[in-house]
Formats: sequence, C-alpha cells, structure tokens
Amino acid sequence: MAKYCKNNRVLEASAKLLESSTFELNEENDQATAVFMTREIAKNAGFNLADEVMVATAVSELATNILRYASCGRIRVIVIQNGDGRTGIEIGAEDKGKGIRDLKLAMQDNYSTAESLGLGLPSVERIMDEFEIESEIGQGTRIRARRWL
Amino acid sequence: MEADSFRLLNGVKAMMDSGDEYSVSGSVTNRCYIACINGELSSAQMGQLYDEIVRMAEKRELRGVIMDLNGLAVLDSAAFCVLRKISGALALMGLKSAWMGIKPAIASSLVDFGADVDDLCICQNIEDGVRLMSFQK
Ligand SMILES: Nc1ncnc2c1ncn2[C@@H]1O[C@H](COP(=O)(O)OP(=O)(O)O)[C@@H](O)[C@H]1O
Ligand SMILES: [Mg+2]
Repeated sequence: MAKYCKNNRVLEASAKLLESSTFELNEENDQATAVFMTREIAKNAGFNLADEVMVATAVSELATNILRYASCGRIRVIVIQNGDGRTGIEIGAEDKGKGIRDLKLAMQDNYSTAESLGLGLPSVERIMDEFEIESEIGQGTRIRARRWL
Repeated sequence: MEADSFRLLNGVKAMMDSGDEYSVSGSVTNRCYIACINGELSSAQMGQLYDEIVRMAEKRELRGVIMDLNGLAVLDSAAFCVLRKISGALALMGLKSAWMGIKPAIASSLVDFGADVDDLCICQNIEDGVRLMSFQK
C-alpha cells in the first residue's frame, strides 16, 4: 500500500478521541449533510468561523472525491485532544474504490484524471496541519488529516 | 455515532427535506440578473445552478449576471469550477458576470486551494456590480 504524508510526518498515535461522527457517502445529499455537520462539530469544538469553514471545505473536497472516483465511502469527523490538552479535528475518509496509481502526482496542484481543477487533495493538505493518504490500486483509498485549534 | 450528533443530523435531514438548505433566488435590476446562491451546494445542485443561470440569461435581455455568494456556506474546488464555468458560458453569450459577497472565510479557503481568481470580476455590492457592467459594455 502506497503512502504519502505531509512533511513526511505520520500522524501521532497518541491523540485522545473526544467525540466521533461518521457520515456514509452514497449520494450527493450525503455530501451536503457531512459538510453542514462538520461545521457544527468544528464550531462546538471551539474553532472560529474561518477555521470552521476551512475544515468543512476539506470535508467537501474529500466527499466530492469519494463520490466521484469511488462512488461510495465514508467520512469520520473526530474531535481529538493531544498530550498537551490541545483540541483538534481529525477527518478520516475511506473508500473501497479503484485507488490512486501515483500518490505523488495526485498530490500535485492541477493534476486530475477527470479534467477538473486538480486542486482538491493539495488544498486539503494545505488546510490541514497533519495529513496522510494511503492507497492501493483496486483496494481503495484512506486519508487522515488533522487541524489543531 | 453519538446520540447528540445523531439527533442533530436528523434535524439537518428534516431541514433539507423541506428544501431550506439550498436555494437560488433571483431578481433583475437595471438589466442585471442577481442570483443569490445559498447553502452547501452539492455537485448536482451546482449543475442545476449552471442550467438555471444560463437559461435565465438567455431568456431576458440581460446585460449581465451578478452572482451573490454571501449565503454560500462553503466553496470547494468543484463548486468554484462550476461558478467559473457559468462565468465562461455567460461571456460567450456576450454577458458580463460578477461575483459578489465573498465572505472572509470563503476568501481564505479560495486562497488555500490556490484558485486562480485574477480574471474574475468581483464586486462589493449590487450598485458596484451594475456600474461595472454598464461601463464595460
Ligand atoms: N478517493 C479517490 N479514489 C480514487 N482516486 C482518487 C480519489 N481521490 C482522488 N483521486 C485521484 O486523484 C486525482 C486528484 O484529486 P483532486 O486533487 O481532488 O483533483 P480533482 O478531483 O479535481 O481531479 C483525481 O483526479 C483522481 O484521479
Ligand atoms: Mg477532487
């Protein structure tokens, strides 16, 4: 399974889970629900409006990709706390779709196999403080990303 | 899912079923169509929006279209792409278009996904937009 991490750093395993919500993605409306709910969750966790919108934008990008390239999957939005008591939001997106052939390419600005903007994954990497993506052809794709308060 | 989130989620579902979460409403001022775009837009809804605005532009003797994005909750790259496409189609039809009401939070996510906004016409309010369109044509 190929893996790419932002700044070559894997996510720390020690983060404590405070609250978790899972959104199944099968059709367009599920995306709107996930995006709306992510804003609520981020707001309640203490994120300001700009950060709340950014985290929801990241979820929107990942949901678009799941529906577009894997047709279905799920996104988990988790409120977490690190060892120093710092709160954050973790987004986990996974699908059992066709997978990504070249992760390095997929993470580049403007790379798209769908002739769209190719800005989704790179923007999620920019928006989130920590980001990792794993994918295997024919098996699916898994992304985990965190943004700290 | 935790009970609280689940309750909340059901609330959202009810709201969506009643159609509250998404709407595009419009009015015409000085031969400019002002399209208010609200809520979280899915790709399907964005496609609808495209059809609606382009059809509207064709029907009336319009000078341009102002897209009011103030009610938009989140703008991701797919939604941005559709808005761009709308502006492109309008240009081909000989109409001006302007984007209005981009909130700071949306602006920063636009910057974060590195959207190319240089060739877009952005206005601050309706007067501003109408004026831009009168001068440019
Ligand atoms: N969940 C996924 N499953 C399979 N392929 C994916 C998935 N997400 C992204 N990709 C691949 O990565 C490419 C880049 O994705 P992205 O940066 O979101 O740009 P875009 O969606 O505009 O093409 C896509 O074109 C697609 O080939
Ligand atoms: Mg994408």
